[in-house]
Amino acid sequence: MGILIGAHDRVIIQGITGGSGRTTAERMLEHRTPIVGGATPGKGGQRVAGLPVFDSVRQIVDELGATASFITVPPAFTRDACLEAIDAGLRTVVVYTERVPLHDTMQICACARGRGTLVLGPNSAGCVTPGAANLSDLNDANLRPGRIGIVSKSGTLTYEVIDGLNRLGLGQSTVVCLGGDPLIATHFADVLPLFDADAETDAVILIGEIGGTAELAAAAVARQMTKPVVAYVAGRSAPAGKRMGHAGAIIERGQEAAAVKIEAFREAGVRVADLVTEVAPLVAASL
Amino acid sequence: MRLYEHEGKTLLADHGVAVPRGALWPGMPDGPGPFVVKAQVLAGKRGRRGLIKSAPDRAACGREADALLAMRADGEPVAAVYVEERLDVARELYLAVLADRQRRAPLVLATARGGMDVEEVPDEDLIRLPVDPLLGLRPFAGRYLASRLGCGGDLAGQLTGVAAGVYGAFAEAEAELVEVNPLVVTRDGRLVAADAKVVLDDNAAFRHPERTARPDAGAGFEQRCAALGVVGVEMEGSIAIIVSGAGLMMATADLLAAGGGRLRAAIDLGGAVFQDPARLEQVVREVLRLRPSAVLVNAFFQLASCELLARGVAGALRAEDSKTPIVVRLRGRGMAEARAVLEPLGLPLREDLEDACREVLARGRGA
Repeated sequence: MGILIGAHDRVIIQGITGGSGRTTAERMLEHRTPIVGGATPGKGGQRVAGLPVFDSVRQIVDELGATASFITVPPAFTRDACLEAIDAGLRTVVVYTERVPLHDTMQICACARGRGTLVLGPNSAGCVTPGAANLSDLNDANLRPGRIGIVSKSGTLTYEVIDGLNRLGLGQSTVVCLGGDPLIATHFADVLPLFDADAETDAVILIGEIGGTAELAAAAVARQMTKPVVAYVAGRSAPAGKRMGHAGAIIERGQEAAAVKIEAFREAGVRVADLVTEVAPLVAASL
Repeated sequence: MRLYEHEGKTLLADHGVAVPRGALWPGMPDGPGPFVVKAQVLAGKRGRRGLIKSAPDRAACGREADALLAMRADGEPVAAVYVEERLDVARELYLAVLADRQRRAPLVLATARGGMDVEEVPDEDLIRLPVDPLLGLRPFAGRYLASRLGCGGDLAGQLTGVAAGVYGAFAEAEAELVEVNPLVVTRDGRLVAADAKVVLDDNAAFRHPERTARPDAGAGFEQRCAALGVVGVEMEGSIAIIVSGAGLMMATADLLAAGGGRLRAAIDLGGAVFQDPARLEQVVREVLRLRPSAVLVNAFFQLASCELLARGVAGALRAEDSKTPIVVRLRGRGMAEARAVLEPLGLPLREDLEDACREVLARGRGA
């Protein structure tokens, strides 16, 4: 079952006629993600990888019952693409595009909240329920269906954690990547309750990082959860004032330092891995 | 991109916010003195740094300007000097609009205790008002702020206008932050923005072609990395890491730190891994030129090819004729091809992250 995305969904790609959209569509077809088509304004009537292309999202909703979208269009077009997906009533939207203007993202967030759409990103690697549907750039070959939920700020670090889980024979229920842009639509605290309520998830991994305060809100939610949570906060060795790759990963004030976040997690009963390689063993021990 | 004070004030004035009469030295504002002479730097806390002076007349302004132009703030040279009429201050407020990451919306921050660092204002004296970006800052929000800030009568109307102007500047210029501190109430009952701190969103620059990008201060390692499309961070230690993604970069740094290693540099390759090997080669060469004790290349690819990165490393080693020990850990597509590229150079391909970290720590120590 998992959360946010499943076999029952009907997936579309906005920007399917671009290079990234096309390869994502081919990959989804190869691994049986329930993709039904794509949208690119002005390219309606074309086909990509055998899939129909529409001019507007609402047309795919009307004709093919689309429920979820993967958006990979240039930053200048991302706001309109995402607002269109929200307005058409899609349930889950991944904004794969990175470096989306801040004010565009804030408008997306306000609109999504009003309509009840869950938007991941910008700069999100997406979400995937292994074996059911893959709305992400994660390679299906590296995923195993299972009962561990993952919610992460970072894409690449998620691959590492999944690799560790696989080696211990632990599969994943759903993997959710929140996105690396400084301001993102969905936070840990929004996703954790979904995992707690999911009958197919036994434990949750949270992969945070320095910068921002989302991990502190997550700790408050984790305190209320019935399922075990294991957290890792990347960048504890980073010097203050240095921006560490993700635009958001910079320690500017005390609240954003790794030590503060780790302490908040520990107080909330969350097990904290000091190193990324310790995450999977800690999860195994918490089951 | 940060704006200098005088640029920020022009932005505010364009949105109907009153600012002091001012001019860039050697220009002078209209009207008699006294004046305030202000160094234009991007660094904060100018008052405490001695970068803001008073002067009674034009001659004194000139003396202060000459002195300020020779000064620096944390190494940053003074770009210009701005001369303003000195305000007759009755009260100092604080008003800012910023993009709040936690609330995912614009947030107005305000306090009647302006002038000081806002972090030092007690929580109960700080007004936080989220704004729905789809609605904008409406007059009712201005009235709420006026009432909370103790601005009655004519001042309430002025404050509503200032709040709308500051928000308008924030939204239209696509800023991360517009901060007015202090927002001065003059003895004759006017509301005037005595300072302006504006940070613009670089990701929105394409919509503001009139905005000329400021040449980045310095031409160091981090700027050269940015020019190559990757994020480079220069530090004081000895080991350099080149990693496929920001999260994995930080996690790799943590692993090395736990093993006693200190970083000389860290690179997040980001999207550059999908580009040509020539660019990857340039990135690796930049790292080698920092003369690290050892280099760890660590990539876990889902879509990109390991071979491309391997070719970049091999090309850089040849071009720089470098003897720097390199440990390459790659996972993902194209591993066999990557191995074929690297092994003739005596670089065995590592797959396990912890093994690779241990090895680079040992090689960095000369083992």
